[in-house]
Amino acid sequence: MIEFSLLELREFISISNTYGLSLNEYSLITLRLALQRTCEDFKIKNFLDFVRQFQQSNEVKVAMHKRIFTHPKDLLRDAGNWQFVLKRSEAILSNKDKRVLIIDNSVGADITSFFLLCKLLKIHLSCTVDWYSFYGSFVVTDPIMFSAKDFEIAQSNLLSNSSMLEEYLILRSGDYHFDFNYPINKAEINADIQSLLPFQNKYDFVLSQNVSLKFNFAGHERFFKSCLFISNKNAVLFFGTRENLKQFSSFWQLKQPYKELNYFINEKGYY
Amino acid sequence: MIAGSAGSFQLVSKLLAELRSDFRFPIVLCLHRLKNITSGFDEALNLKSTKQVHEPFDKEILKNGKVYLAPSNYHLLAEVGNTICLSVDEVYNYSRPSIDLTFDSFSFVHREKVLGIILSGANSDGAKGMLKVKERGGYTIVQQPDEASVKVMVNSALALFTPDEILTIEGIIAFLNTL
Repeated sequence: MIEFSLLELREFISISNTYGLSLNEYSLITLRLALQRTCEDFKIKNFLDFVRQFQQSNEVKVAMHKRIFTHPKDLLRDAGNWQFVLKRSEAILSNKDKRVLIIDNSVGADITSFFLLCKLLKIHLSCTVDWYSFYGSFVVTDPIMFSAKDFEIAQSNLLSNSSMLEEYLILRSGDYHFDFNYPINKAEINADIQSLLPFQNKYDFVLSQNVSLKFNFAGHERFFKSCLFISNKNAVLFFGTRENLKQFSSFWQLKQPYKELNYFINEKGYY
Repeated sequence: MIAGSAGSFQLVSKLLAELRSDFRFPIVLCLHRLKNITSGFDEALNLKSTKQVHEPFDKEILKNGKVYLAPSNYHLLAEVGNTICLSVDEVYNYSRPSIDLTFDSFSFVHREKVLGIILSGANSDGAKGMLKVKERGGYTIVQQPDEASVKVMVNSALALFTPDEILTIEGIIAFLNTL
């Protein structure tokens, strides 16, 4: 893979600002990986060549954008945690006065996983679900498509955690269509983590697993704080399994007005 | 940094059991593992280890004397600023965690301070990462292929570059205990 210096990475952050990408709070090492993989895809040989193509080719720009803001359509990744969260949240999910926010940095793997598992667990979904995608200005307007392979991955992800898949999701050959309606609002957003703050609604369940992993320490902390500001009292926040809250002293100070919040942090009981 | 795949668990377990308890450097373990078995691996390694083995959280600070095990289904990377960065980016070399990505990022951030060790394994993941370690001035050790129960990983590394040392597991332990 191509070598990038820290200086080049910072230069790219600066260049990308002029193209509407705000990467100041993005993990440098994650950005480096995204750059390297995009260069591999387009057989780009060096940083200058990459910058040239990024500025001139929409194809490269879109590909880079996808690398930065999406992870693979890995349905039901961390299936055990999804099950845990949904089962613990049944009361919220079946209450039409409640509001759920799913913050996603993919083209819809998390929201699809959410609905898929609700169906598998036979959870009656009455609440309003908003979907906030970190897909940046490339708004998803078309139906989200998942391939047979994506569903095979979902099957494999869930199968290892539970035998219920055998009962509810036997994928027959050529039968990989999963039918559900999105009761969601697809908001157009910029990829600026600060823009998470001006939400119109407050939420009773905020699910944002794996999102903050993409950001540096400052962005990470800002993200957690933002989640707190948009949460109702007694809300459930789910940040995923390996996100680190322990180091954020200011986070715990912030927590004080929200004593009754529940935190689902990881599978080992830190909540 | 110690990496391996098939056939490496016993080796790592032995290494951690015989490592000096006052070994002062951080150790990063990147071992291929099943993606959905999220617990039990660190506990198993801890049974004999002289040092606490721990699966790090994202943005955890890398500390001397600690042993960090790449969590199942996450890439473990070094972030600028002496922290650990976890990633759910797509699999690399059919692997997540990918040894190549771990070695590459740690040698990118920590340069010549990295000591890379590659053990028994069934695919070539790790070879390119070890090459990066060497190119950036780090020290490289490959397990003696005759001793590796699955030789693909060590042979792939040896086909790509000449390491600083080719040692048996006893030799690797002895080497580490002199540091």
